[in-house]
Order: sequence, then C-alpha cells, then structure tokens
Amino acid sequence: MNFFKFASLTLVRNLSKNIIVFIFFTLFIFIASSFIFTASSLQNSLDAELETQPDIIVQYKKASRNHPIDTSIIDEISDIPGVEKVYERIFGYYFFDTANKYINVLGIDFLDDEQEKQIKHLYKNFDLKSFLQEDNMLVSSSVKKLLEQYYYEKFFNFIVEDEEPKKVNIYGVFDKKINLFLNDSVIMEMAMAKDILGYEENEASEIAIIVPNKLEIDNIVQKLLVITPTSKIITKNNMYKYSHELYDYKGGIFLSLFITSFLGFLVIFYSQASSINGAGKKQIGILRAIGWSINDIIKWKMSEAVIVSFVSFLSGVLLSYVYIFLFKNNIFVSIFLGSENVYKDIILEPFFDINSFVILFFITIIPYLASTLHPAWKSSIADPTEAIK
Amino acid sequence: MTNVIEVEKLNLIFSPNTSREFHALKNITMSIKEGEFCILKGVSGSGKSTLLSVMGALLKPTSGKLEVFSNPVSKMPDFHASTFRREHLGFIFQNFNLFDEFTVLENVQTALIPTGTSVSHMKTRALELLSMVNLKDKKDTFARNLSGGEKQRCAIARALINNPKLILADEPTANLDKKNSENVIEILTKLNQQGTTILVATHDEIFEQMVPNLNVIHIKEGTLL
Amino acid sequence: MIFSKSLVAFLFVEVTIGLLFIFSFYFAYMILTRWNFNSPSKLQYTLEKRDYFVSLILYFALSSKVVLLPFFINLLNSLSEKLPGAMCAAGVVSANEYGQLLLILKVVIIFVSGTWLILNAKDKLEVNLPYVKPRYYLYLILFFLIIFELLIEYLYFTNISTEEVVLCCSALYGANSNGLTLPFGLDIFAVLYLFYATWVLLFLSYIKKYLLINTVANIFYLVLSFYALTYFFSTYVYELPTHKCPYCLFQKEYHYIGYLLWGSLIGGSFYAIAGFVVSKITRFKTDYLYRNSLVLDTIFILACTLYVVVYYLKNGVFL
Ligand SMILES: Nc1ncnc2c1ncn2[C@@H]1O[C@H](COP(=O)(O)OP(=O)(O)OP(=O)(O)O)[C@@H](O)[C@H]1O
Ligand SMILES: [Mg+2]
Repeated sequence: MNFFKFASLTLVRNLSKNIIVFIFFTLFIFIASSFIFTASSLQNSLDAELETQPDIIVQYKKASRNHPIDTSIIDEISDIPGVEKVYERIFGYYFFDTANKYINVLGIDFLDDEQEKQIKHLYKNFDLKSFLQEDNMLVSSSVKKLLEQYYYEKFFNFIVEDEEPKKVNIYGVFDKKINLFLNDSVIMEMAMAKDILGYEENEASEIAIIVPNKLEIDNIVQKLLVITPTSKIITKNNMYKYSHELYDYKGGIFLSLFITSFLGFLVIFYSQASSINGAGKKQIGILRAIGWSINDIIKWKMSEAVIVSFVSFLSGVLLSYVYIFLFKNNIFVSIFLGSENVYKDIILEPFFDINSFVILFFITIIPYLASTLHPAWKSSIADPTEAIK
Repeated sequence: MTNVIEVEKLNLIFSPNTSREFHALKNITMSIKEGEFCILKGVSGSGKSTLLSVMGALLKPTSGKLEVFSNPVSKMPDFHASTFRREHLGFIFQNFNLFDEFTVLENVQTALIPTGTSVSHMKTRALELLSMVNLKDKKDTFARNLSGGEKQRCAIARALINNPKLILADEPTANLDKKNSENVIEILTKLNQQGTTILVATHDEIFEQMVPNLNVIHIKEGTLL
Repeated sequence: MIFSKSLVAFLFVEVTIGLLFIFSFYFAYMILTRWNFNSPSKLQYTLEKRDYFVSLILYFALSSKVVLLPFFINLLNSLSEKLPGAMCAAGVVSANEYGQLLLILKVVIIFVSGTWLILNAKDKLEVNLPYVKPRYYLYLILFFLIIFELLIEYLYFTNISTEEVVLCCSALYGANSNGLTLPFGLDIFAVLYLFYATWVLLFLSYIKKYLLINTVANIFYLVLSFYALTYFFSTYVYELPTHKCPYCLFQKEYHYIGYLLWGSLIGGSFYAIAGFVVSKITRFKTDYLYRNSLVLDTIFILACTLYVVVYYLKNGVFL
C-alpha cells in the first residue's frame, strides 16, 4: 500500500461524505467542458467552411451594414494580374412573416464551375438540367420542416415587393450534417435570388475573388483599394482571425463567469474541509502515533485531493462528450449561435481541442488543490495525543 | 543492562501562564531497563497517559530530560520524532483505535505506508504478524465487525509491524473481558521474553497476577511514588 | 490589452499562486523573527508546524510553475496569431520591454524555489533544523520575486497592443537583424568552439569534483547555449540557413523539440546552481545534483549535435 492506495481507500470507504464534493466538481467540469466542446467543434466547422471560401471578398458597407455592391467593377478586377477568377455572390435573409422566422436565401450561378462545385456535395444525384428548367430551390432539412408546418409541401411563395408572390418549387432537401452553417438556408438560381431579395440586376451582396498564389493577396488588396476605395475588402486570413477572435472572446467571457462560480464552490469546499471533526482528529492522532509524520499526513490528504479532482475531471469531460456529440439540440449551441435563427436541429461534429482542456485543467484542478493545502496542513498538525485520550 | 528510557526531572505543564494552567507531570525521574516489563499504576487523572505520550514523542515536555534509546526525544523535530516512533515504538491503546472502515489486513499495513515498503513485502509482513496474533483467517474482515479481543490483537499486530523494541500500552485490557485480557497479556509476555521492553499504563490487577518479574511504578497526581 | 482564454487561465493560476504566497508570508515572517529551536515554548512548537505549511505552499507553487512554464511559452506562441507581424513567440516577447524580463524572472523563480525545496529536505534530515534561517531569507527573496513577477506580468500583458506591428523572429535574430547579435564581436564558429569546450570543462570539473568551477562553467554554458542554439543549431532544426529563432522550436512543425532542448538546458543549470548553494549552506554532499546537471547538459549537447549530423547525413552538406 502507498499513500495513493490508502487515500483511495479512505475516499471510497467514506463515500457518503465525499460524494457531494465529487458531484459538484463533476458538474462544474461538465458545464465547462460542454462549453469547450461546443465552441471548438463550431470553430472547427467554421474553419472548414472558411477553407472553401474565396480568397478575397469585396463588400460595400453603409453605416457598417452590408449594402448591394455594383457588379460593374468585376471586369476591372479581373484584369488585375494574379486574379484567376471574379464572381458575384448573392445572399440575404428573407423574413417569413407567418412563421416569424428568417430564411437565408443563397443565390448561386449554377453554370459557374466554382460555385456549382460548392453545391454539388450538398445533394446527391443533382441533375442540373431538370433543376434549371423550372423555378426550383434546394432547402435545408430544418427549413423543409419549417415550411411543412405551414403546409408548403411542394413549393413556397416568396412575397416580393411590388410584385406577385413568387412561387418556387422545392426541388430537394440537402443534409444538415454536411454543412452546419447552411442550416437555415435555401439555395436557388442567382437571378431568382436577386429578385426575391430585392437586388437590381447589376447588384450583388459581395464580390468574390480567387487568387491561386497566396503571396499575391496583399498586392491585389492594394490594387483593389485603388479601384474601389470605399469598399470593405476582406481576405481569408481576416476571416479566420475574426472568427477566432469572436470565439476566443465569447470563450473568455464564459471563462470569467465560470471561474467566479467555481471560486464560490471552492470557498464552500474550503470551509467544509478545514473544519475537522472529532473522528477526523482521532484518525490523524492514531496515524501519528503509529509513526506517520506531519508530511505523511499531508501526502495522504493531498493524494485524496488529487484523486477527487482527477476522477471528477475525467468523468465531467466524458459525460459532456456524450451529451454534446451524441445528443441533438444541446443547450450550449444556442449560447453561440443565438436561439432565434437557429432551427435547433444540430448535431455537432466531434472535435477535441487539447489546448482548451489544458486550460480547463488549470482553472479547476490547480485552484482546487490550492484550496486543499491549508485544510491538509491543518489536519496534519492536529493534536497527536488524540489517539490516547 | 542499558536503559531504554531515561527520565530526569521531567515536568509538563498544560497551558502555562493561563487560568487553565495545569501541572500534569511533576519532576519525574525514572529509568526503564532493556527487557523489562513495567506497569504504570495510578488512579484516573494521575497522568499515566500523559507520561506515555511524552515518552512516545507525541507531546513535548515543558522541562527536563527524556531519552529513549539514547534519543533526545523531547527535542526532536517532527520528522525525526515520527521516524523514531515508527522504528522503535509500538503503541497499543485502550479503545484499540483501529480504522473501522478498513479490513484487518489494511489496518495492520497502515503503519508501513510511510516507510515506502514494497507492496508484496508489506503484505507478507502483515500476514506474518496476523498469524502470530492468531487472526490470519480474519484478515479480510472489516475492523468494525471484530470482537473486542480480536480488535486488540489486530492493534497489537499493527504495533509490531516495524519490529519495535519498546511497546507503550495505555490500558490495553480496560475494554476487554477476563479471557481476552489474559490472551493479550500472554502475547505481551511472549514478546517480553523475546527481548522487547514493555511499559503498560493500567490499573488492572491482572498484570500483577500473570506477569512474573513485573516492575510496578506508581504515579499519583503527576508525581512518582 | 490582449485577450484570450489561455491568457485568462494563465493569469488566474498565477494570481492563485501569488495569493498563496501572501497567505504564507505571515507565517514565514514569524519564523524568521521568532525562531528559537531550543526554546520549549508553545510558540516554537507552533512555528515548527507552520514551517510545514510554508514548505507545502512552496512545493505546490514550484510544481505549478514548472507545468505553467511550457503553457506560458505555448500561450506566447498562440498570441502571435493576434499580433500583426509576429510569426512566433519572439515577436510577442519583444512586443514591449517587459517580455524578456518576465521570461528571465520565471526561470529565476523556478531556480530559487527548487533550491529552497532541496534545502528544506536537507533541513528536515537534521535533528535541530539548522538551515531554517537561510531557508527563510531565501523565502523572502522568493516572495519578492513572485510579487515582482505578478507586477511585470500585469505590465507586460496590459502593454501589448494588438494594433502596433511587432517584429518577427527573422527581424530579431536573422541576418539583417538590428536587435540581438552575438556578444563580444564573436563569430558563430568561436561561439560553437567555446560551447563544446565548456561542455568538456563541465565534464572534467564534474569528474574532478571542482564544484565551484562546474557551477561557473554551467552559467557560461547556459549563455553560450542560448547563442549557439539561436544562431546555429536552430537553423538545422528548421533546415533553413536564414531561419534563426529560439522560440519557433516550440512549435508543432518541429515536433515541440524546444521543450526538450530548453528544458534540459535550464534543468542542467538549475541542478548545478542548486548543488552549489546547497553544498555551501549545508553539510550534505550534493554530488547527485551535479550528476543530474551533467546528464541534462549532455542531453542538450547531444540533441543539438544530432540535428547537425542527421542533416549532414541526409543532405551531404552543411547549411
Ligand atoms: N490537553 C490537556 N490540557 C489540560 N489538561 C490536560 C490535558 N490532557 C490531560 N490533562 C489533564 O492531565 C491529567 C492527567 O491526564 P491523563 O490522561 O494522563 O490521566 P490518566 O492517568 O491517563 O487517567 P485515566 O486513567 O482516566 O486514563 C488529567 O487531570 C487531565 O485532565
Ligand atoms: Mg489515560
């Protein structure tokens, strides 16, 4: 037997006394770990999504809101050396009045290879010809569900300003698993999307630029600034940075809240642990009498703390893994994506971000162990003559 | 023969210079020789347990000299005092002081944990002692389920695990019936014959009846008579 | 002010350790001023017990600091993502004047607290705790170092601007760097020559038990290793003659080799210095500390040399 074995025995044999701390600790780890799993999985999916994005995006902003951009500059941009391809992109929220929900409408130029490539993997056996023959759209499974609630089984009527409602057939449903961020979207032909979203023919939401040589990007950005000085130019790097910052920021806020409440737990734990009862004192007296030193008692007490914290940590992380990745609709997703616009039908991709768990380890186990130092020492110096009284 | 314990003008005052001041041991001078079987007799409150605690380095005296196996026990810092207790002393208590939630075998082994002994050696040594006190078949029983006599034999096995040359026992028979008391005294006598020095604080007459060559020390109100 | 999850966690742990130190300071102060081993008073008995609390806290602080150091390096590397211009921790460290100081402080604190714990272990082996005074003077130094470190940490992180462009490692250490260069106008081959010669000196002084020489040589070795690693060996790790940086070594692309290299180097110097201090203060032999030191120093030199040899075997040329 060593101190660890002894500590595990004293813990297990006094389970009823120790179980409360264990449960609370596990619960804390569970919450924090669920948050981390959700955040890093979303971040990871977002990174993968960004990977498929064009290298540079040009937007026109008015009062920091996205405004339609004039597509006439496309030709000029195409002439910049190093630019392989320039195309317009259309997207925007359509407000579905009756349901009081927004639907994200994406317009795609299906005759363009680059854009068609992005759509292809969403839908198996996609037959372009039959799709383009009529007014068709692809919808996400969540949108499909929403429309069905309002008895739109085969088609949907988009209300367009100053015009007849536009009837668009539901051609098919794409799988939400493939792309988390298209969860609230419908995809249709570009001209039709422009119509529904109220864009003029020579307008787009943004202009996308593909640059094969990544080292050229900075140069091209400089030239774009000359062509359209008022536009906002976003590179893929910016997008990565921005998305990471956002998640890091939300993560930081959560972390601060978490630390505060965890400290509360520790204070309660500390006051409980530092009051040793008569039986505890006796136990220590006996050990001291049979030859344990102050340091030996400390080792035993600290081993107990290490076991409690590691077992709680592992069970908390394991439980949250099961909850986050095997169950639908976990509440943590809405913290990040907001609850109004998400059609809450999301299963996250399992993703394990070691750094986050190192952080979690630091902010839980170290303070926990720190809060056991004083109680451990205090019990170790309990009067050793207790055993003889 | 050499002295195992040497005490000279030992004083112990609880809470000195307060209203609760209590002079528990007064000017005690005594010595115990190697291989002796001693009992410390006195009424309740006379200071028997206190004297044993001081000898076992659990309590620091206020003044005076105390040497056990030539170690200046009263001046030793904790690390040395604990090592000393572990290597030279075996404690036996009135109310057994076992860990109820531990099995007999685990209880006996606890005394070896700080030594860093290997698991296998620890177990062999513990079983050796359990068979000596006739408790081997109860090794996996929880201590709380033992009878009083069994508890005390288990406690003796624990006290003996480091092969101590001195045993300090505080009223080891006070909670036992006659038969079990005899049993415990037999074990102690046997150890004494093998050379272990034994000091028992007790007011049980049975020791005087059973143990030959017994050295009786009387204590009253903290003073030796 | 720069902000990230890792940073919040890091500062939180640092503050926790700082609080523990403040918590223990009163005990330490009492021990320093009221200690009298021969007194049978209750106070002395209490102080002896409090000594255990202080050592427990130091033990905890050292262990935390040791695991926190690689985390800190990793944090600096990850912050480089947020600073324009920075490619690795080099740019982040040089973002303001406190970065270098902070790193050095961290290593010094690990040295001092490690030495303290070895002294403590030796003290407990003695029957009259004779090293309490030196231990607690050392504690005082450590206490002020810890508080100073917290202050520098605060200044360092609040003074990092996410707007200002910082230098990347090639600007700091590279060919046309205007920052650090080799000391005393030495060229790199002189540094290498001295580096290997110092190792030989370490080895011989260990064999001959010239402990003072060994310790001094270890300090030289630490300094020389910094230059040799940054300006020569690192280029073999990166397999690029122009890439000179002591921090990129910690990155995944290079198999986190920086942790081994810097870890063995710092550990080696620590054992030599601790060995010297402990042998001066106590009556105990510290040969085993010097042995640990030599083993770690040797691991460092072997790992460095191996990179050059492997590169030569693979490519048939030197960089
Ligand atoms: N910590 C203490 N503080 C103050 N007085 C104490 C303390 N411990 C013991 N005493 C007193 O010292 C005296 C001796 O106590 P001790 O326990 O040694 O008696 P004892 O001879 O063992 O008695 P018993 O036969 O009842 O066990 C008692 O009067 C007791 O009240
Ligand atoms: Mg008594």
